[in-house]
Amino acid sequence: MAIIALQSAASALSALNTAMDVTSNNLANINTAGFKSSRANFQDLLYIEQQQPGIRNTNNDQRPTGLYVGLGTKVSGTQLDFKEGPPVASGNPLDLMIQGNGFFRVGVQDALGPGGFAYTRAGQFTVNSEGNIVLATDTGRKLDPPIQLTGDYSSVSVDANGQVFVQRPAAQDPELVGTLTMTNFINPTGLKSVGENLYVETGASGPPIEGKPGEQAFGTIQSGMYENSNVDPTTELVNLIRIQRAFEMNSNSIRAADQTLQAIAQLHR
Amino acid sequence: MNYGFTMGTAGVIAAMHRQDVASNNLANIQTVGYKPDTSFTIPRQAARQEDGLMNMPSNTLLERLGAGVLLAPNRTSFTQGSLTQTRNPFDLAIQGDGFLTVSGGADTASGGDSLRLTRDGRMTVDTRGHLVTVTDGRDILDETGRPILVNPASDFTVHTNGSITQGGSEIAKLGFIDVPNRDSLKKVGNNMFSLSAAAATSKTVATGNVLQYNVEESGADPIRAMMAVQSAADAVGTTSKIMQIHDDLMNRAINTLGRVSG
Repeated sequence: MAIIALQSAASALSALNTAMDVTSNNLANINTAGFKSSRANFQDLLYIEQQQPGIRNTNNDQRPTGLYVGLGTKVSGTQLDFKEGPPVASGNPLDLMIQGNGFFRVGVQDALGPGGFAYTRAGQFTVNSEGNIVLATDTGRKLDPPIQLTGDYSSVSVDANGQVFVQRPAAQDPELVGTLTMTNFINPTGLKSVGENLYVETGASGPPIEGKPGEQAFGTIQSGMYENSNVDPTTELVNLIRIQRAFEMNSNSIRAADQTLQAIAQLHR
Repeated sequence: MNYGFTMGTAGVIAAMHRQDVASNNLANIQTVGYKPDTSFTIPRQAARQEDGLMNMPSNTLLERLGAGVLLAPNRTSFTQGSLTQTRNPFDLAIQGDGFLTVSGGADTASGGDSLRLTRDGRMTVDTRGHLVTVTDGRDILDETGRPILVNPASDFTVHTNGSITQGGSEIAKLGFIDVPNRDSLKKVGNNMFSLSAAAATSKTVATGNVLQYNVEESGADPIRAMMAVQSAADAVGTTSKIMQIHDDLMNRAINTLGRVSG
């Protein structure tokens, strides 16, 4: 009885706690390039059947409906929102933004992502000591398939189709050194976030679909720009207020259920 | 003599049930497409009337009081929840009457149709390319009851009548139905309802509109739910007081009045 009320309220507190964590993480990443906001999806729990439908009353009629009591709520999962974030112009030729669908593929250790690959939309690249194009993070994940800038060159440029050119001092035309590969997933919301703005393939996301920038279903590359976080601060703050109030109301329901149990407990002196 | 005591017990049980239902509503104020339950009670007749024992000796005075309360089935309020805009094309909300149809799989509880109904239109595409619910990955069905295959690379538009177009041509029409007798729907959790066999045969095409880029917020009213939780707690407090008074009366009757002087 009142125990169910306690459980319902407790399930709500725990679910709202998760929702609060998700929202706080979104807000914390408001300036993280390529970050995609998540939301917590709620669903109601099962119902206890206290009286079955179809029971006969004294008049020998069937009860048309049963008596069910719900057991609360839970977070069924968190869902990534892959809406494109706003572009930020940086002027750096190796800052790449994908306009449209697709991810850059980078190499990671096998333990992190299946096949040693992870995917990202945070296209802030740089060149490492061996001339390879790598992510400009502390781990320096190497772009896959690798593109190496070797020898003497004065500038780098990347066109909309992901072709990387270098300008040699003596040459007239820029030299093509490689083309970026893009990856797509049938269900990007099923990807797993592993931190560092990276996502890895899961059973739910489906296998990676490879392609070139500008091909059908793949976006084009904008050099000199990166994609900012797609977190909308207004939405997140409104969510935060709603979650907090819902939390307070459910803690009141714990108090009320406790009062009930206390009244019952005092029956026996 | 114990009449008031049993009536008090019935009152406490009913109030605790009210509290359970209201606190479930309150727990689900963030659940998309949730429809709140309202609990009801009915007066209980005296045992002699309820069980049809007309020859049983009775106390006419007490019998007129009835025998406390019984729990009546909950009813679900299907009033429209408020709509919130989102940025996800796979978020659908229903404005007006109607439900989206979801596959119940092998799970045919209550002997009815294996169809499930929902007002939670948050969807995603699974690895087979099927349109599924985001909460537990069940297939969302078209009007003929088949899963909907979408091309995830193409644009995705849902029209108010439930028709889905990709690249300008219609690929499917959402199963979008209504049931005249909503009391025949049973909540099964996961934001879904199951239909009884009778309801499955009486389903009609829904009259509401499907709105893309929207979700329908929970229909639970937080203020009402909170008041109900608290008033049920108060009711338990006062009713249990009545039980205590009756207990006290019995105590005096047995231990004070009934003592054999000596």
